[in-house]
Amino acid sequence: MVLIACWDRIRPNRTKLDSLIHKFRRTRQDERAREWSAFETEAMPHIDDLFRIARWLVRDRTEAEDLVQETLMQALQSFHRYEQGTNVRAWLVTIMYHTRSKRIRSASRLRLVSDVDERIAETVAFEPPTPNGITEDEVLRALEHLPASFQEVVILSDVEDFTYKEIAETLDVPIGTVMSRLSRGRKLLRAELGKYANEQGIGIAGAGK
Amino acid sequence: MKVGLPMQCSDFHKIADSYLDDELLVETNHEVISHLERCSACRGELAARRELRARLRSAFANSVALQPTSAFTNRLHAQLRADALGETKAVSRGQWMAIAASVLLIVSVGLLATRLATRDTSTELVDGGRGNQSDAANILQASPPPGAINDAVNLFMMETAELAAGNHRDCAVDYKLAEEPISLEEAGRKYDRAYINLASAVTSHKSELMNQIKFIEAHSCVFDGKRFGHVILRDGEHLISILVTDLADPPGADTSTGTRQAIVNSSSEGYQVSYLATAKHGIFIVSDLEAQRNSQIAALLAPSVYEHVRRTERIA
Repeated sequence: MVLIACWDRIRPNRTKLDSLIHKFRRTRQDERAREWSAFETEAMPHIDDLFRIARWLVRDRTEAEDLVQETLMQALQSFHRYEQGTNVRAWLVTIMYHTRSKRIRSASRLRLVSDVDERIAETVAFEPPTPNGITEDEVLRALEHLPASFQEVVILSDVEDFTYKEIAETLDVPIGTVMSRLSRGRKLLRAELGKYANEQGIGIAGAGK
Repeated sequence: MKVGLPMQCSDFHKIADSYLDDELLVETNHEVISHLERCSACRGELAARRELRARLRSAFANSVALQPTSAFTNRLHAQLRADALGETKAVSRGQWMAIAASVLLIVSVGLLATRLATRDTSTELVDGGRGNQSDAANILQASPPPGAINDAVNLFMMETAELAAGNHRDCAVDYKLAEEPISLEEAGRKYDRAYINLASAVTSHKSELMNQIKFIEAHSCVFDGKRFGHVILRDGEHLISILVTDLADPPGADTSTGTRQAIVNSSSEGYQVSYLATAKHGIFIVSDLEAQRNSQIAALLAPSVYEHVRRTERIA
């Protein structure tokens, strides 16, 4: 091979490559700061909501914290996919449900609940009236008695104020299913609360109708 | 509900949930409202349901068991902030991978990139009796995630490609004599261990395609103030440069093990440049071959060069 030598443009300080890397890092740093600031404003205020749902889903504080953490880290990484102006809470909750179902699958303890749940709900054939004057504790205890698939629609609708469409997207079920689960879930909840009312002689709205 | 007839209590019960959730059509809403005006029982039922919903909401908001501790929220906030600003390794690694993948997207759309799955290469390596699948098997041209186009990375890639192409041109093609290159062994001792045995890492790969390619020379040279390990090959009339240079935390780098690496193809000054990064080095394959041929050769050579460089990084 012919003798090869290289051309060395002498630079006293930084090489071109070094300054390119430096420039790259600075631009990247600016972008990161902008993205974090948007994420902090949009997503971070919903930590409490996410935790409440997580805590209800997994029933264990540490596990709920893990789930919220994983959800927000995931959300941060895919924040560029979030459409500005849409319901960020619904977007976050959807990520949380995905994260959770991934976990359940990986731990291979997928629950086959839906069929059973729906049949239980069918057994409440009558229209239970809504009791008045119930306490917060009673409401939570009654909710715990509902099958999980009804609990989640009731929480997402009544507590989180999601639209039917948002619930359908979050849980990845058809809107019709959301409506029927919500209607049956609330019916079950009223029936459950009716038991306390009967035990404690609490008034019932629409009684005597 | 029967068309034309005023709403009955049973009709109301069927749609009370949707009314409560504000999910009814405007017309149906009006019918509900006029029924409620007439029917105190349904008004009472609706009020009780509203009350129940309010109670459920306040129960969630007030139940101590359902609230996160401030220690947790503060810790999580700090951690997310650090991740977002690239202050921790774990996420910056993931982000680099996303960047590497998005560069590939840009390149494959905008620049003269040719996609070539290097998974086949890995298989060939194994078939060739080497049986070493560790890092090499993980190198492939990653599919980019949707949406993450990054101009800064794009710019960086185009400009570093220019530098590698410049070295190829001035050193391998034009033999511009300014500073005499030194041997890889000497450069390896003095500057960077990655240069030692670089030539054998390049030539160790045997395949039908590589049989057509001749080894010309290997040395370490300086271009634009930057030292490179340089192996020159010839494919017919064309010269090919394999360039290795140290970059602290190079864009597109993968600092973890077992994660897939992306080869990025680009062109600069009439040369095709394929780029791959380890944790501390950039590897460039430059030639004036057709884009597809260059990336094909890059895909064949990259695994053994990548593995060689990684090994020296681990020792260091």
